[in-house]
Amino acid sequence: MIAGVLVSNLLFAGVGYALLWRTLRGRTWTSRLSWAGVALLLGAGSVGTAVFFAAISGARATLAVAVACSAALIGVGLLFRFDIPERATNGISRIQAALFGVVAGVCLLGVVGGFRSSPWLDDAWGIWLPKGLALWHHGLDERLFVPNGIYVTFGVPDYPLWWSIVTSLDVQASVGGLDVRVMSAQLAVLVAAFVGAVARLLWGVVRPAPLAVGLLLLVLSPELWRQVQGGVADLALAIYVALFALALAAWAIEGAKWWLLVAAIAGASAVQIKTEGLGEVLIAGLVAVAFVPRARRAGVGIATGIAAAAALPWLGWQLAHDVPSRSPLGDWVDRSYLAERSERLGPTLEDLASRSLDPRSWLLLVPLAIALAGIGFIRDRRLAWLAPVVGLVLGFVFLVWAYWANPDPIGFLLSTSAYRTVDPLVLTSAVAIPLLLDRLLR
Amino acid sequence: MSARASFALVAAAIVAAAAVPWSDGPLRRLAGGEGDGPEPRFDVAIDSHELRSLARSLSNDTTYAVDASNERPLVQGNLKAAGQLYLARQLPLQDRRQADVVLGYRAGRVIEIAPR
Repeated sequence: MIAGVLVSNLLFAGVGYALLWRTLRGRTWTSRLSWAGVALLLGAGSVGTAVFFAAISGARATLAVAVACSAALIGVGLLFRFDIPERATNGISRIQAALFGVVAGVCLLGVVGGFRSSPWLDDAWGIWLPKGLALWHHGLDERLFVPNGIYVTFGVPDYPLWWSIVTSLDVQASVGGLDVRVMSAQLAVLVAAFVGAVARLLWGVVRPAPLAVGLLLLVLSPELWRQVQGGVADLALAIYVALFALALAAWAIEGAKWWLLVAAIAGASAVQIKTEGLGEVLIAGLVAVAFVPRARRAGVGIATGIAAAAALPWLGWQLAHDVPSRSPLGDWVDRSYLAERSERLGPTLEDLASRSLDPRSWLLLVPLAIALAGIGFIRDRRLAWLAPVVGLVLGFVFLVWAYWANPDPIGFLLSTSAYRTVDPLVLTSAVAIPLLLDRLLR
Repeated sequence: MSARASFALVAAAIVAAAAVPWSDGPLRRLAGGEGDGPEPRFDVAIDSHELRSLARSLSNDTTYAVDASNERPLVQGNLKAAGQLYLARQLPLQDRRQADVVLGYRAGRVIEIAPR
């Protein structure tokens, strides 16, 4: 199983590195290695998306298809060359290095823990992975993926299938039979890659101390690693939503086209992971359009448009096969339907707020991001400081609306999912903190 | 001591702290504690070895049905998921009368109750 997960992730990283190949040419091997997290996330996102599209087109989601998709992506990636300056910092103190050492040590242990844990979330082994195995053996077969009264079909048929495909590829690359620990192992690798990617992408954009603080708060959050050991798909979604938001923020600050590519791939990946990914990507894009300088709005629009368009193949397949939605869009805007269910609002607001702000789960990531943005606004009287707050508030409202419109009993729904649906808000706060703190300390 | 040495030393110390065999602190739990096996954490007793063996013995696209109508919903839900996980090459049917193979559940064991 260990070798299988490693092989899959080497494939993902290879695709990501192909995209960076011409850009990183001439740099030292140490410098190239520091891009591993970025390469892995971009590669996993694009390979998973490409295999998903292949499955929608009728192919089975096999390792051979993944290799073929990877070869095509590598071919395209090698054409790109971006101007990413080799950013130098004014050096890093031993204390700052020690803080990054804590981040690295905790991530290493978290990855070990992921490989040794059978996911505690029953959805992980009961829905997500079985769907991936069915895509491997049968393809996107409507006998299994569309309720029909004859075959036993999968639950939540409207959910996209990126997470199922990626973990199925891990199983296919493994020897020794089915091992459900691939789910927590893969998630641990993605989380470690995310931490490495944020460190790499913000290195030199912010100073080391604020970067270390943001990453430390994230990796020391107990809920992060608890969810890794649960195989929770929401965490994978949160990684790509946060990466999308980070790339848009960096585009606003620096204006380098490279950031738009990161945003487009991250956003397109996020919409393949869970249904709410589309809404969250659109909110981040909308906030960015409102706050970036006028000359950079078109870039945000293009990256967000590509990400949103990547949701169309799956939406089209569902439409063509009459796949029922668990929470139809019509319900979201049906005023009488919503009015009849207004009693759901109180517990939803209370539960989501407490999950987002609970210092025992996520330390103080969300409140700290809001506080830093508020202090910056009070100091400078510049609206740009409020962009993260507006994004978090809109993301929160979106979640409240989703729970409001959902037909399932609210108590059950909140207790089984609210702790993880807030993940995108938390991880986006984590990547905002270094940017906010750095600018506040200048 | 250089910054690189400081980084490596702290990272190594954290990893080493989790490796202490008698510690039961958060770092050891982060590293997976005692560790789990390759099977899912079923909510009810299900012997996955028998499902693995069934998966090997049944040909691709064989249809199967699980007859657990007398069991609690939790058992039924776990059996459905276990079937879709281990018998992924086969096809689950709702009606046992149309299935090539019918599986039953007896005291944690998934057994064939109708011959192929």
